[in-house]
Amino acid sequence: MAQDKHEAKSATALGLQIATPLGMQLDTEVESVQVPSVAGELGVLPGHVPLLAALKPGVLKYRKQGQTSQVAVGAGYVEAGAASVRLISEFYARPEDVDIEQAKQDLAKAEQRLKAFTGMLGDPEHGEAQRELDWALARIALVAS
Amino acid sequence: MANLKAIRTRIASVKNTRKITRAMKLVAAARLRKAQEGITRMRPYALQTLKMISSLSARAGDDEALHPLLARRQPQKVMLVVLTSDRGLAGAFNSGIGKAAYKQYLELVAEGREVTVAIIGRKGGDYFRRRHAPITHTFSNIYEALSYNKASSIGDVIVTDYTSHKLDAVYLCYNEFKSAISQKVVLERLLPIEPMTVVAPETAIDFIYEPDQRAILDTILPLYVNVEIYRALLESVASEHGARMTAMDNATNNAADMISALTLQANRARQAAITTELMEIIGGAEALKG
Repeated sequence: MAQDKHEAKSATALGLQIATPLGMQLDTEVESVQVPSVAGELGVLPGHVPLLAALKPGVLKYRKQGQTSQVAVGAGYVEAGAASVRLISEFYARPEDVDIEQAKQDLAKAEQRLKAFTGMLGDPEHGEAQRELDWALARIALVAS
Repeated sequence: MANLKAIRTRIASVKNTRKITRAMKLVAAARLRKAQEGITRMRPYALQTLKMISSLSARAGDDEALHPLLARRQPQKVMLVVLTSDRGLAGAFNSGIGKAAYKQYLELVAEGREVTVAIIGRKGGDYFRRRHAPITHTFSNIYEALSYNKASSIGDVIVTDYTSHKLDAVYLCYNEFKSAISQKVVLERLLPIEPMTVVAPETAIDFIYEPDQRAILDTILPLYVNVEIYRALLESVASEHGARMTAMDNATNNAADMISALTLQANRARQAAITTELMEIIGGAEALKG
């Protein structure tokens, strides 16, 4: 099977792809990945059994040539296989992309919006503010770590 | 013969109009490029999600109890989501989509369904309000700084209405971008999600679901709705700018034609005036001779 061949060829490497609505953000080969899933941190090494997990906005870590890098990702899901990890995430940011002041401002603004919110649950306004809040927290966590 | 001064004023004003339409055409062209780029950029995200949905739904089978978004009910309460633009001057863009959506609306009503309309964009709101269609949602301020987050907010509303049984089916009605000169109005079913039966051989192995299959479906199915809405929004924006570009190009050409016609008229009037003046002078000289 196609997958077996792939497995044998790259038993030590893991393809990592991160796609957002703004395009493919990362497409590289890594040694290991740690993703923030809704059920907690999830480590993936080459040869992993097929797994599908929901993502929580937070910090993703990966090791490439012995070096650990971190990026912030938003809500979405991750599909892990023996030789690849594919992330579908709403957002993506590298530490150098994050403007900490901006993130703090966004956080305050989103908190304000949620506090002032009096409409019904499921209102678009509420969801938008909640997502902005989560994303601001993920960016702040990325810079802080 | 028309007044020479009036014609000249008219030429100046048409020249100004031509300047404006030409500028609008250029702006539309630039925005169109940006919108097309957006469509290309979201492609990997959309494709991956579609693939995942198809493999998940193939595995879930027709177990509709698995997730409310897969549940198929008798489509009694139907919602049409109509994507129009905020601004006019885009040729037949808005009237085309309005007409098509309204026709669909009447057909569904004739079938005895309870039809509601959700409007994205200011122009569609005006159109349907005039025809007294029941508008349950209006989403405004979407196109300025269009983002995936905004599409998600629209998706949230639709998913909430669907899962709380306020709706049994949701259709998207938007302009699909073919080229700058042609847009096609399409009607697509958004909900319930069509179970896709494409099973690639590699998907034969089932996944481990973390935390469980239901939670994954909770994440991915609304994501599909958001992706579809975002795609439709981008298509609609690209179509709008394409339509505006063509309309403004036509307007610029028409202005140029008008200017040349008016210039001809002005020259004729000028010549006529000179001739009359000459005749008067000659006539006067003749009279003095006598």
